[in-house]
Amino acid sequence: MKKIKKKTSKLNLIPILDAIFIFIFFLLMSAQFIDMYEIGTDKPITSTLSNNDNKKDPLNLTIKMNKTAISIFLGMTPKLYKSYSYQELNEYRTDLQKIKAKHPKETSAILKPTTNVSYKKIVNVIDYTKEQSINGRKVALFEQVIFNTEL
Amino acid sequence: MKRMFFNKKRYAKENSELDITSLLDVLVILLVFLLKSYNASDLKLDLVKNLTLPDSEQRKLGSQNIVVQIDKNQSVFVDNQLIGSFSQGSTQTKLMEILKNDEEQKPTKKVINLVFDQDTPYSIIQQVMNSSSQVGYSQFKFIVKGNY
Repeated sequence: MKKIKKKTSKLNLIPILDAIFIFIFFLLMSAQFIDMYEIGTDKPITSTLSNNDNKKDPLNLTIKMNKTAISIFLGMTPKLYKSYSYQELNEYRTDLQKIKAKHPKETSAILKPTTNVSYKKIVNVIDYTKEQSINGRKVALFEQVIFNTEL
Repeated sequence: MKRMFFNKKRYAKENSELDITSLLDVLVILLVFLLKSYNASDLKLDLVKNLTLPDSEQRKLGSQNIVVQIDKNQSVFVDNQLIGSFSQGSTQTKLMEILKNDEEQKPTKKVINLVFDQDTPYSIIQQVMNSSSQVGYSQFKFIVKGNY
């Protein structure tokens, strides 16, 4: 009986290697190893302290921040709703959810930090103001955060 | 002697094919990691030294606009060019001039990317925002780092 010799055919991998090399080159060129995102905000509102003579009283959600605490104010003649420390941000978000449930059409919040508040704290508060997490899904809270500059 | 020479030649011919399978394996793994780190955003940013971005939960991809960066020492950079420090009085005027020139060149684009160190006080942020809005920028994009 004649022995049938099995021929081992080698796959030519060189073209695929060439393609992968080119692909890696482009990916390396476009790679950014820090993921950067943006937080959008509009031109700051400039208000004078004496012009609060509006007839309607909208929600006018104002978040005042200083180095140690955050306070929520509501209404055109701002009334203090509640104050929180920076460790109570979850409670802050829960209260914002309650306010949002009462005013579902409201999408904006006015942020008023004092001059000595750090950027890190501001970003943290913006995060808690803009979104809420429901069952791991992110849902908008007060999407539009506007800075206020008081003259 | 002649026989030895021929043997050597045959030996060299037999080993001429390089096995690139392992190299291909490595490259495929590299490709997977690079594809995972791929960011579709068109924002390309070279962060200056001494600048730590704050972490954020936001996931909105940025776009390419004029970039103002302020580092830990409150030095101001516009498109990676150092223009001065906020401790000097003239820096704000210089910043406004540069922003105004850029705004005149691209009158339709009213967006500015703001990159601040995480410890920057709000007084500096306020000054930059006021200067930018005075020369015509109406939208500010704060650039932050994604946290997981």
